[in-house]
Amino acid sequence: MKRYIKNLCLGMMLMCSASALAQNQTVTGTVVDELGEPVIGATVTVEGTKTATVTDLDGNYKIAAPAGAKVVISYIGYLPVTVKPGGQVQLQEDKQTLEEVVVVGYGSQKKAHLTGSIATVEMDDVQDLANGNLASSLSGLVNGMSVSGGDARPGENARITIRDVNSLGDVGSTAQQPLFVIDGYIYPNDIKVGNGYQNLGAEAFNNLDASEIESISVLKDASAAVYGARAANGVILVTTKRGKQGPPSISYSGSFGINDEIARPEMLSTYNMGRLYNIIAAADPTNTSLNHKTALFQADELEAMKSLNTDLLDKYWESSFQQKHSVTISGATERVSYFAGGSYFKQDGNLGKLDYDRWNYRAGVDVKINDWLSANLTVSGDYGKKNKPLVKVGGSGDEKDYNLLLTHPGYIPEYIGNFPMVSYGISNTQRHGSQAYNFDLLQNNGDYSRSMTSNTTINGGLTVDMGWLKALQGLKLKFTYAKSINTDKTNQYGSNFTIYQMVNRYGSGNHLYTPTSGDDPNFNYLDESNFLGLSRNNGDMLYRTMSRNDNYQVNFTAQYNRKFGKHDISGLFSIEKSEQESEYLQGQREHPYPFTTGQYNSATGEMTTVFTRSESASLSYIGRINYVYADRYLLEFLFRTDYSYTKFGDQNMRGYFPAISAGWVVSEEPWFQNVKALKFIDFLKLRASWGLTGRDNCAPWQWMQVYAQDANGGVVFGTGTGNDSSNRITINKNNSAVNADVHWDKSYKTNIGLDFQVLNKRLAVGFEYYYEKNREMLLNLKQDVPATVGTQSASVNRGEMDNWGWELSLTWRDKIGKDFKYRVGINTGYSDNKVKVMDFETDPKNIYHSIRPDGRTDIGLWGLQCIGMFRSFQDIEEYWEQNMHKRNADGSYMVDANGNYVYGTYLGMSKDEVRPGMLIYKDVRGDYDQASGTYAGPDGTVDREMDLVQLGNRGNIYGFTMNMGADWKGISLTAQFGATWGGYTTIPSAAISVPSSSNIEFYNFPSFWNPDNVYVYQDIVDGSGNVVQRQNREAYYPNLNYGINSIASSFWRISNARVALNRLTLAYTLPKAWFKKVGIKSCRVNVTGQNLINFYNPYPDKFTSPLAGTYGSYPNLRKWTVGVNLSF
Amino acid sequence: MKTIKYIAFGFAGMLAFTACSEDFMKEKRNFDNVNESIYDYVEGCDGRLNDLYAWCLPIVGDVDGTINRNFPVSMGNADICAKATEEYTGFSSFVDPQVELTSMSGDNSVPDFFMKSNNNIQASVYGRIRNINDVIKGIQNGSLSDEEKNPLLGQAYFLRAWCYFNLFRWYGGIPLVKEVLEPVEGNSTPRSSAKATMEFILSDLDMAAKLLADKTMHGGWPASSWGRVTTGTALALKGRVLLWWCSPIYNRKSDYEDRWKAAYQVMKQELDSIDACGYGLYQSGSNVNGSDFAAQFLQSGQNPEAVFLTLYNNIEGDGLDNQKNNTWEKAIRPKNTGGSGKKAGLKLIQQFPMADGKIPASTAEFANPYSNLETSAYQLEDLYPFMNRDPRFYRTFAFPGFRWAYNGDASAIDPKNPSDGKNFVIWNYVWFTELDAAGDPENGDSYGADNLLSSKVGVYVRKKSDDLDVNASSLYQYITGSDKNAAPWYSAAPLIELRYAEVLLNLAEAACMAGDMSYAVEQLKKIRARVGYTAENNYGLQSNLTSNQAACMSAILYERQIEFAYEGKRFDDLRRWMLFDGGVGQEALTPNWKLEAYGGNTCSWLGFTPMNNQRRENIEFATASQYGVGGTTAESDPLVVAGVVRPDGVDFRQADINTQLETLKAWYQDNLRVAIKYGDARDSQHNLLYITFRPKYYILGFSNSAQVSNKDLPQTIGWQDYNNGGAMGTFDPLAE
Repeated sequence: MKRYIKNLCLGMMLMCSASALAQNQTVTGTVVDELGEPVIGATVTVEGTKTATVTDLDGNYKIAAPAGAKVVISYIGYLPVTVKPGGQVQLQEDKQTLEEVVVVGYGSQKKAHLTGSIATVEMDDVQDLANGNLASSLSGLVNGMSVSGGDARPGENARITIRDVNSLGDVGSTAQQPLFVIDGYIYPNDIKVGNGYQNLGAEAFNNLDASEIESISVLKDASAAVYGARAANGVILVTTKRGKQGPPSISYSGSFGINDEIARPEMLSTYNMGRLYNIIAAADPTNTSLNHKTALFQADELEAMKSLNTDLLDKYWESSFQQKHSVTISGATERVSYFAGGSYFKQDGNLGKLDYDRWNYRAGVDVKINDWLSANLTVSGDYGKKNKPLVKVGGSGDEKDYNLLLTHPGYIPEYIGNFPMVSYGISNTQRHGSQAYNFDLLQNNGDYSRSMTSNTTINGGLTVDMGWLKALQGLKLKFTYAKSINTDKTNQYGSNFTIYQMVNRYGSGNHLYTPTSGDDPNFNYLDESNFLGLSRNNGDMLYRTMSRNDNYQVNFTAQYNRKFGKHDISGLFSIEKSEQESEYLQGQREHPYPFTTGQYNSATGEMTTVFTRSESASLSYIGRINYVYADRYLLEFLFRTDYSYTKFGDQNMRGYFPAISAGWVVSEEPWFQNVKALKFIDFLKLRASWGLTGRDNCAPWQWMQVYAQDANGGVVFGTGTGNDSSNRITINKNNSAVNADVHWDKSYKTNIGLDFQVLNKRLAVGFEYYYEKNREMLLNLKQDVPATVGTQSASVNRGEMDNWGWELSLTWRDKIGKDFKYRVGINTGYSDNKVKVMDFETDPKNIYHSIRPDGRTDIGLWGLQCIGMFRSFQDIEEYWEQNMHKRNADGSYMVDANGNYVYGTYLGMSKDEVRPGMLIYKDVRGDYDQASGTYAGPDGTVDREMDLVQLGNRGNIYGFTMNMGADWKGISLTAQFGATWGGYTTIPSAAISVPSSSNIEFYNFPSFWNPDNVYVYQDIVDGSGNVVQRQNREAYYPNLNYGINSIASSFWRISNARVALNRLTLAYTLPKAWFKKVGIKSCRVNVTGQNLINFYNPYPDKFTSPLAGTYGSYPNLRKWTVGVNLSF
Repeated sequence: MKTIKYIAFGFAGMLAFTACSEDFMKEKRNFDNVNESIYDYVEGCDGRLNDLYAWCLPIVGDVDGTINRNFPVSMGNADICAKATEEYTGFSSFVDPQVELTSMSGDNSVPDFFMKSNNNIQASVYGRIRNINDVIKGIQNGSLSDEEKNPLLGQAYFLRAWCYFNLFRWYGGIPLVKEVLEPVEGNSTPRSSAKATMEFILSDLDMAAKLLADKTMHGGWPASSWGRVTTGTALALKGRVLLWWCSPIYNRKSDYEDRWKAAYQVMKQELDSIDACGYGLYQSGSNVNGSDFAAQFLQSGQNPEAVFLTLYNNIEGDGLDNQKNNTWEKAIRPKNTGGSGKKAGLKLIQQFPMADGKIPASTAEFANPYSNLETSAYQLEDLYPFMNRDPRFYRTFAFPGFRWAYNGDASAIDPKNPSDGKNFVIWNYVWFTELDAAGDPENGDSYGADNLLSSKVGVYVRKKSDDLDVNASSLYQYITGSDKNAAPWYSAAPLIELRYAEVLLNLAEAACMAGDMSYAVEQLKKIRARVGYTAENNYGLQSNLTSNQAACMSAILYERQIEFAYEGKRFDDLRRWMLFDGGVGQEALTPNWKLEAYGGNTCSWLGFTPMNNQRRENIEFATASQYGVGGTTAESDPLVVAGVVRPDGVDFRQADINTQLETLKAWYQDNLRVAIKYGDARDSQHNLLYITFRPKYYILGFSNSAQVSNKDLPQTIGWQDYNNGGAMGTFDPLAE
């Protein structure tokens, strides 16, 4: 202790008087990296002193050092070396990353000292990925973290989940994203804005540009307990870049890219679509009222359709352009460090008016005011803008544009002359409102939906090092303040428009829009009188929303960190206070003028305004103690108390979240190092953690009776006839249920980890096993509340579920020869769960295919069991006799009072209603017996609820992600490959059914519905007696006319396996010598592809690709980008 | 160094400062909703009370066997209740011989008047009671002065009594939830006896009467609060509750007269208090042909008749739900004036008194069920039923050839509709498209005149109609716009649930059964006097009523049947007095339920023909056979084709209507004939079916849905217990 102080004093004296010491000599040297390129900004310190300098642009340094002294040269990412000063020193890359410091909650720790399950993201893996949202760049990079979405439409965010939180949704609780913490600021995750909830953390995280980020840590286990009540779903910690010691450095990185669909669903040609339509329309052989002329496509029409292949999706879909630019400036002197950056991202849509762009900025400075006092301030933010088409024709939905283009029948033109056409099919009347959707018209008539977001965050801090007081050495006091302001606005305009119907159409059945051989030669189809204008609207309104969220967080933190011999002790105590408020304003006015300016005074209809406000606050006490003995024994204790009044009221507002963890670095034991047999093990650590984290995923205020204010809606009082019905204050459905005892969800997390490195640190292995007991989960449990109480219970803390699993990460790093380095990392794992208490299904119809007590949430895939197809009426008769008898208890056939056999129904139909061309499903079970909890055997009734069988045991339980990289003389190649398998799915219902039968008229189908392979009972003849479709009773596919054929069943089952090359980057770092003269320090170029190759396609006719996303929706995009990184 | 010290200490100070205060969190408020602090404000309490009123007041809706938005209070529609009476035809499930209602799951589930959707506080009966209990607790705990609290609480107590009364009517004894209960598992409330239920309702009503006395005992609420309940409302409802308690349905023992006497005492004594609130019979002083009777429903001011009512307005909403219109006028009006019309049953048409106040003697089967009542000197003319009737008859039904003026013009929507609303005469005679159809009671293929066509009704219900001849300033807005179909939309006609006439008749009933028949007859006379009867013919009442208790009681029930026709009261009277079967067969349900009073059969005692085993038919007036058949269009009306000239419509504004009626009769004679149409169903073999109301229906059992939601609720005797494997219920609400 004393010696330490002495040394310190000595060092300080040395520093102050360095120049005064005569025996020092000035030495110069150069620091280079493994490639021989100069290392800029490496720190060179005279060993045992505070004398230090940094290398310049050429990697040179100059330092005054006493004779014989050694210097320590260090640079982040490289192993520090201690050498005699002077000459050239080559730094070795720090592969082991054990000395790496990892950001943990409220501080950082040496990676070697970690006791919890904390993963970090290699920012190098992310830097070349040009995605509009950060989350989708992270997919496959962290074991135990899954990322979904974010690859399709511009400006849509991906969603992150850690470990198995998704299954919570199945149990009836709320599945949430992890908590996002950026530079210590915990972004609120559920701010009520208007009637919805906004996760500001996920938004802020997705809006970050990779160039701003120093590191990302993912807390997967009880180490998250330091974030207490909101930590049960894991925590993602982001640290942004600060200035680094050295002269100012400017860097630029930019990329340009092309986005295009991974796959476009193969659809039927117009001719085949026409034939399929006929097959559907004439499916029922008993239908004698079918008009063969008007209700079917005629032979001449079909002939003409062979050449009508207007593919609207092809017409409007285009590959889109994206670009990204970022510039950062950073540097540091001993007293001040600074970092500033700005970036711009823009992604165009592939379809019409759809695009997204965003500006980001960040400027931060750290100032050391004196030896004991330092301050920092960062301002950052982003401005985003998203344009979407507004679609409110025939119901609103963002996916309608793509979907209606994809399924648009090729024989219906968008325009005839100047008339925009309605998509009327064979009956030439409106079957569905969507038929008035005309892409070109709605893209170009001025309708819009624009949203803009603006987020600003200010972080500031002041740190006092109490080291000036002897007794308080190692103690730091910190005050930090962070404030964020988020504003959003959306403007929409939906017009009225006129769209045309062709009254008399071409063809002998009047079904086509283009001439055929069967037209009436005496009729002028193109005469204006043959076009009927229809007035339709796309919302017919002006609409605007604006919202603003103001949140702040303030922390007072005391940190203690000191080493006493082999005892390394650190501790932390923090008080955290935060408040959130949100205000929302929405206005709408109907009937805009055709010449509207988009403002309220340029519309004439009813005007409505809504404005709301919400606020919340929390107060937390956080404590942490770490103890490390000789780098061998590690111990950590965490504690957090959270308070939330708005969600839990007086009684339950406090929540306590403790966690404890310990580690044992076996390889540091002296005996271990002495055992020769263990020499191949370079590092071995065992660790375990246990802790309690919470969830506060409930709506606020349900602990107290609240009342809604209802302007009007009351009763009329007073004499006279024109009194308004009075205002009232009401208990309504939404707030009648009260649970005074609502409190935090609890998640007890246990994690056991094993880290080791062997074979000269070439192979690193990480293994985690976790077990989480989720208790007192807040869910809607149907309780036996007597109706006389008058209301149901609100959500109650009753759910119980255990989640467990393991994660294995293997990383192999090696060198071949001098220049070729490579690495292969594999992440794999398994997760499972068991539901102990939830609102278990009690309806016998669902019991057997629902989550059961002590069962897992993944119930697998259920559907009917298809055992063939009725190919004739004879088949139906036979099936009936063999399978459809209702039976008495003794097994004999049931007879009615008249002595006739009693039969059951087939999917609700009697025998007379069943037709050839329907699939045959198996009768599996009968009535449920409450007492024994079992089902009777086949009961002569095939039922879509009672006769399901398990078509797939579970979802994809097997899978791995492989991240690979290789470097050779500045050329690097990285790739990510992923595979999951083991589960089954069914062909998407949109591909095997139509929303309602009448929609068939304007709806095309995927290519596997080849009409030559679809069941046709008998020849189909058109109105003129031409056979337009031959009888085909041996077809593979059933007749699409019958809704029962599209029920999920074994017939439509396919594998759910996914095997894909997700990413590939080829990069080249150009030799520095090439640009040295123009002042460029380094230059790296890369070509990156994302969502690249799908290796396995289970779909019939491969009509779509598993990688492409949901059939019928905007597909996931394949991206190719070319990027350049420059530093000056 | 000093600076650092200060900063360090500053830090420590700030730490201490923030650490100790949690107050900033408690300052957070819920901006979406308000909390119980609203009860500290009169406006807040008013707002809550308005909510209670909104859910508890009866509305012009159907009782369709389930509870929709509001109470199962029949309000004159052809609902499950009214279709079990003489007012309408077509079996409701209560009287359908082919249906036996069951409390088990199945197609013929007994109507659930008990709970309905138990997760919706507004749609369920006990949800509303919870809401009221919340208000009572809130106001009691609030910081208002007693003076402010009392009238607010009084109204809440009244509404709670009203809610419980509506359960009491159906079930007798029910669980009495008196406070806001925690919604936790098994928090059930035991079922009370009918007596305890009645007493609880009375105590709430007494409380209401007391708390409201200061505000309302001096002529009622001020005009701006018209429509709120008063002390008088509470006491009037109390009379009704007492009547139920004394009536045979709940009063079967041999000492039954004691209850009647006690009730009579109370009711008679409290009449003054009711009057003090400004109530009385509505009388204008210029009654012509029953115009006062008609006008009492059309008062938008402080109508003394309206003791308990729901008010409406005639405004079109501005999107804020401020619209609250009465739909009755639109519902009863014929299609060619914008409505749809309600079909009056022949039985009631026949039973209405003649012009001398006496029930008609009729050869028609079951036309006169009251054997203790003297029949009229006038003969009921089957072909011209409108001849020589009680003035209320003309205000209750509309026949072809009667004026039924309205303020509007239905030809705006369809030029074939009659255009002059102010002089509208209903001509709803029909023609057939086949010659022999008129004589066939099953054939419904007839077409109505004046563009009514297939939307015609034989005889229209016109009770409570906003007749322009009675009320020159209509309470509705007649909208001619195409989207509103040219109709009397947006009517502000109030809906009166409890009229002063009922106060008097309730009192009369109690008096009669307590043995004070002359007091009872006095009340009857007041009712009759308003109609236009005078002392000259003893108000049309027979002389033995003061001496013959059964006759007197018959006369009171008859008066109620006529006076309150199409007001949703008849089914309750039939149940109260067990008039479907006289109460025979109750002992089969449980020996204890045997009707010991009234000689074991109320029908015999009263001299009333039981409703069971009767049928009800409908009547139409068809074009005489000499005109042949017509087509399906308005132009094909055989009388129009033949050029038959219609007489002027019968105008009740003229004191002398007999001449007009004679003229009309002559025209009928020349041009129309009567066609009787089956009202009640027949079976699949076309055999006639007859009204069958089963003994267990008097006191309903809980439907299986109500039982599922109330596991501890015992089932009523006579009904199967769903929670108990279908065993017969054992709970006896009549046990004391």
